[in-house]
Amino acid sequence: MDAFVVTVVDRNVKHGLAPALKFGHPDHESQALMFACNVKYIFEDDEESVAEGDDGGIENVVVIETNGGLKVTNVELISERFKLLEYETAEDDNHEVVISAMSKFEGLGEEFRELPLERLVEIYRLRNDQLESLFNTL
Amino acid sequence: MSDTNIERVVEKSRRFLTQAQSICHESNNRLLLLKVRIQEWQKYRSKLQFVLECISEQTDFLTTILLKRGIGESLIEKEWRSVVLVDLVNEMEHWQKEIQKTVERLDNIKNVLEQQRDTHLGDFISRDTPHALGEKLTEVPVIKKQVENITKQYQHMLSKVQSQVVGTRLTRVNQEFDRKFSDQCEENVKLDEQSTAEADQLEQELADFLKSFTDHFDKCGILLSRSLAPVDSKSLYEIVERDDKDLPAIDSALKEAASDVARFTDDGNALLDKKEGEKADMEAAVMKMMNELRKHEEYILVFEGISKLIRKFKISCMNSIRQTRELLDFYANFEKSYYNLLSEVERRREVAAKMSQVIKSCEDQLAQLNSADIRERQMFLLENGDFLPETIWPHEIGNLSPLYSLDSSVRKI
Amino acid sequence: MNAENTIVYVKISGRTRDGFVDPPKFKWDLEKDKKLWSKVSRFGNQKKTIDWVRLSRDFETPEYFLRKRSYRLFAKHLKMLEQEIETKTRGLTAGSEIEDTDSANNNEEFEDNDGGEDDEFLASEGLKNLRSSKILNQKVPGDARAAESSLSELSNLSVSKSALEEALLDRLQL
Repeated sequence: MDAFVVTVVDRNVKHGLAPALKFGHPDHESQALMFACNVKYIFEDDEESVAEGDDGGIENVVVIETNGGLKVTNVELISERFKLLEYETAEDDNHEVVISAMSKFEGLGEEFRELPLERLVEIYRLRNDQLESLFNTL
Repeated sequence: MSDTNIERVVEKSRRFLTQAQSICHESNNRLLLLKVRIQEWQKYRSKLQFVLECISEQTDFLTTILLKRGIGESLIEKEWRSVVLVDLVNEMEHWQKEIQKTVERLDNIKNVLEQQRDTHLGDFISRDTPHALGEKLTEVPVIKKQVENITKQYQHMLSKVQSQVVGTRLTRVNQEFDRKFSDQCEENVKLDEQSTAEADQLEQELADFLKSFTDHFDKCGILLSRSLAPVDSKSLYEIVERDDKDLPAIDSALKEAASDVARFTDDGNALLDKKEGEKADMEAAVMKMMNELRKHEEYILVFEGISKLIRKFKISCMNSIRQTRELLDFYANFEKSYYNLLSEVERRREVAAKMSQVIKSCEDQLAQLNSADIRERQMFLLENGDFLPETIWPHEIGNLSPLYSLDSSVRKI
Repeated sequence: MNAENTIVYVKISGRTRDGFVDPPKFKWDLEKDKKLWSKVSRFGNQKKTIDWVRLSRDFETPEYFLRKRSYRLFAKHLKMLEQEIETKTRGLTAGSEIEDTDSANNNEEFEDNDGGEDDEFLASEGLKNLRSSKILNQKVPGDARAAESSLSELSNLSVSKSALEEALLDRLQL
């Protein structure tokens, strides 16, 4: 069985504010891309207590459910800072899960406060759209 | 300890066990469903809280960043009231005065070259361009009024957002959340802590009951298998027989526990039904809040529109200033060139005078030559005229008219 | 989110562990991702094969992850190239149209650029007018042409303003 690769993309508009990085990296969303590389597997015959990890600093828990054919059937994200918007598995790899999440809105950094009004309005509008997407997942 | 007795207790234990399994299964299912519902309810509340926190932040963005900073400070105070209405207007007035002074000066310079009419240098310049800045300046009060008007609207909008959107609506939604959806709400505390603990406890009770029935059934099985030594078998039978008598009591205790589970889950589900019933109102309030935020997108567009208009005005003013400055340079050159022209006129007059002198002197010399020539011709005729036939040089021999004719003039300047 | 503050549980229904060992927790971030790309993208032009074992050791990251991540990065890179080619091809066919539209937009578009070429052009045009027609002609008393242009400009502005004012009043029904 292949191990799962889980990436999380934060859709928060704040990631679009900084100028795009020019390092020739093909992943254009890389600024908002995060990697969850602490993956535990729970099989039918595992003791229930296996879920109780020893990690003290855990802030976010992702639960991926699969069926016997290892097809992802559900994904949950339990976190104070992030909420799940949607998830998808790669077309060519069932074991690659990309989670679209949204981090909590936060105040703009000082460097972005002097943006022209048009840009501020655009951010405001995008955040309203995102609020709506978030509300629709309730 | 006859076989019949053993078979009887075995049969009885199987019957009770099957019944207990069925009861426990049903009760466990009820408990599981309730726990799942409680978890879903917790997730819902957590997400709702997240949405509300984002809305609070977005409201703060609207008031602090968009309205106060973007519109209030940057646009109204800095760009409009300071840059456009003070700095730009001052600059326009300065250049307007400059051009007026220049035009006035040109108006006062008499064109000495025109004799018949009384004209001045000012008559030779276009009057529309110097007025361009003046026209712009007459528009300033309109812009000023517009800025004052939009400032009032801004202040109105800001106070409305602060008092109604933030002060009332958002506070109310948050209070409603705290009252009905927060972890501090008593009903939620009951669901999160008491109910979950009680469900675990009930599950344990059911498991204990089931274990009793299973243990008893297992003991009966051992008796039936006759695998024990007679002494052990006898003592086991005594235990089984005692337990067998307790079976109805345990069974009724299990049924009691099952009723407790049913009551507990009914209560829990009823409470969850009630809580979920409160979702609709809350969601409607959140939706209204979001619509309120959306509405301000449009309001702010109006500021954007006016901002563009004022920027357009500003640029056209700056164009006029530049044009005026170029014109000032041009008029300065015009005045300078006029005075140069006067020198030029003088120079040309001097040349004309010189030319007149040359012509006069030429006329004098020609006249002298001519009178000498006439004298010479008369002498010639006196000496030779009597001997020469007139036809030898027809029309010329006795002609005494001057050899030259001079027609010259110098234009009066 | 990272390996320290995030844990992923993969619940596999209907299967037993069957000797499967959970991969170790490891650290992966954008910095490493960029480094990985800079390493693997260089292999494209060489005939060497990637030494995954060594990469895994260098990055302190399981091999399966490096392989999958590299594959994903290559796939995205390829997609970007495809899009770029598509855009360029489209640009070639529609080039002239785009140019036309651009110049039209430039005229309409409003830019805060007081030293712009257009402005410069207008200013020199204005001066040319002055020199050729106005300065050499004496002022004709009662000539209305002078005030015409600025008046129409003002009236245009006023129309826009009142329209905006109306819009404002309509929309700001607070």
